Amino acid sequence: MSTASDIDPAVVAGGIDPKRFRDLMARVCAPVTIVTTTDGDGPHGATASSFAALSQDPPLVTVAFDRRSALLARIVATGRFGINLLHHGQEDLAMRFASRGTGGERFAGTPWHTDTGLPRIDDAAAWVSCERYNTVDGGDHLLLIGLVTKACNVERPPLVYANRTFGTHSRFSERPRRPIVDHITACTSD
Amino acid sequence: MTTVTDTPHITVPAADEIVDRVRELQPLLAKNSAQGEADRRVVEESITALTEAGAFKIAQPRRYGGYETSMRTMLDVSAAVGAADGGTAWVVTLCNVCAWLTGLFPEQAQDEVWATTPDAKVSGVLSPTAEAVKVDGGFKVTGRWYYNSGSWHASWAVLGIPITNADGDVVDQGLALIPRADLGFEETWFVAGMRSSGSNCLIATDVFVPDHRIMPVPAAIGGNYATEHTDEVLYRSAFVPLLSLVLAGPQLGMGRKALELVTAKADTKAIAYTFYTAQSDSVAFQLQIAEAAMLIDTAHLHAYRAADDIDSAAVAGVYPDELTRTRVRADTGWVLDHITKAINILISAHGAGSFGENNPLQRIWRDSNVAARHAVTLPAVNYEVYGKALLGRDDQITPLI
Repeated sequence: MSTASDIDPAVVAGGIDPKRFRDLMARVCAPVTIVTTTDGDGPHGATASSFAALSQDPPLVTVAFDRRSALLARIVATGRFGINLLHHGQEDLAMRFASRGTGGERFAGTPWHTDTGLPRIDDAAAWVSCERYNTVDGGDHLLLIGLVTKACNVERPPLVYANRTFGTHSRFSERPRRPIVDHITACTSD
Repeated sequence: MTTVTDTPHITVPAADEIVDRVRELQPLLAKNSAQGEADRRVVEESITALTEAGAFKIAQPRRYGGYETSMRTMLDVSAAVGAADGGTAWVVTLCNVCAWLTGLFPEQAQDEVWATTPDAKVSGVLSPTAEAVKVDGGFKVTGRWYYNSGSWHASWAVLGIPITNADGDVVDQGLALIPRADLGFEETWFVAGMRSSGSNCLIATDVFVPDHRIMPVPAAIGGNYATEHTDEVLYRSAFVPLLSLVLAGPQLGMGRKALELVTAKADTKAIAYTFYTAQSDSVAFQLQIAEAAMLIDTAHLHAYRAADDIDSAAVAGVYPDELTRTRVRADTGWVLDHITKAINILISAHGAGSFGENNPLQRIWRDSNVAARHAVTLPAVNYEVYGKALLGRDDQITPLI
């Protein structure tokens, strides 16, 4: 892969309109996750929409954080993090974990429990426990690469964010599945 | 009177005798109700007394010394406890319905629960909020189940799981019977009513459950149970109707008790800011009492109609059709609708004093209202389920019929 030093500095300086770039990225349909870790100060978490798959063998995922992120510093320190893929009904949690506040404030009133020593949001559509595998410089962000040590799925429509609007996969109900899966979903929804 | 069954050395009391024994405990249960709320757990003295009276035996097979009664008796016992304390009634009701569920398992599983500990209690949650991995001879189960009413007192639990194949694909839904000793426990029950039911969270982490302790749920919904004892009438009862209707039992007792409390004070309590020195002199009050009494009676008539639907089908050895089964769900919702309305009228008639912390009416009001929101008994949902069946529609909203 290329690094910033291989690229013509003129291109790095860019000359593109930052707003135009942000507007383009806003069109990208992104998963909505809450990334968590825990340390002596208790649970910490923040909303992130940069969660992506990277490798099957070993199982690796990536999530990017602003270098100034307090959560990032704690994850770098602990070497462990969890990723909660939120479900369609958890928009309020996405907003809560995206706004200003300490870990304690964000988790107070949030239904959560501890899983493999990490804070796990109750009822999320999926849960991944990660060990820090590597980090990659990415301008004003740092890309965390996580080694997946545990993965749990729940049959719930995932929360997505596009055009600065929350929603879900519009054809989730048409996904291929056995009828028993709908029975189980009906029996597990609150 | 008592009747002696075929089982040697075990005498099963008649249903009315069991209910009388529970009624004798009502003063004790009522005395402990405030403490149970404060502790968020029914006082052990109450549990012990109910255990000794046989209140937890009514849905246990006679093969283990249980009384193996009927849906009707399950309602009677829950209502009798409910008249003294809602939370205690909820624990009795849920432990009994989970004992009934245990009685649907193969005998090998039932033996593990009761053969050496006939007084063992079972709690449970139907929701398959878990993951199950197929292994040799059974499943490895991991999950968290909220709202385990009675889990403080139970030594086993029946817990919902998805059933998977070797590829990890979900192929069925099940109930796993798991010893409480294999499970973690978290206090998560912090609520406005039914506080003493202690409906906390049970947790499994990679717990092995052998095949004989797993019961398929869709098959059970259709009336196919695993028990070899097909001669045991109680364990032929319809699955979802019984699971739904039991939750009406505590409400019947709470409704009757609220009427009794308000009526008892009517001759000596004035109506504030009026010239009435006794509520009972007021025609408006008389109308309120009559309306509440009729609503409570209506609740009872529907509850027992539904109980008879379940019991008579079990005796006849037939499985009720879908329309009858959805009607039981609607009957259950009807009970809740009418009891909550009656209690509201009674509270308004009795006045603001209802809400004094030392007045049992406020606890009945909270307990009844919280319990009436149990997901499988919600009136609007259950009427929709019944309406779909009445109209013969193919867009039913639930597998739980």
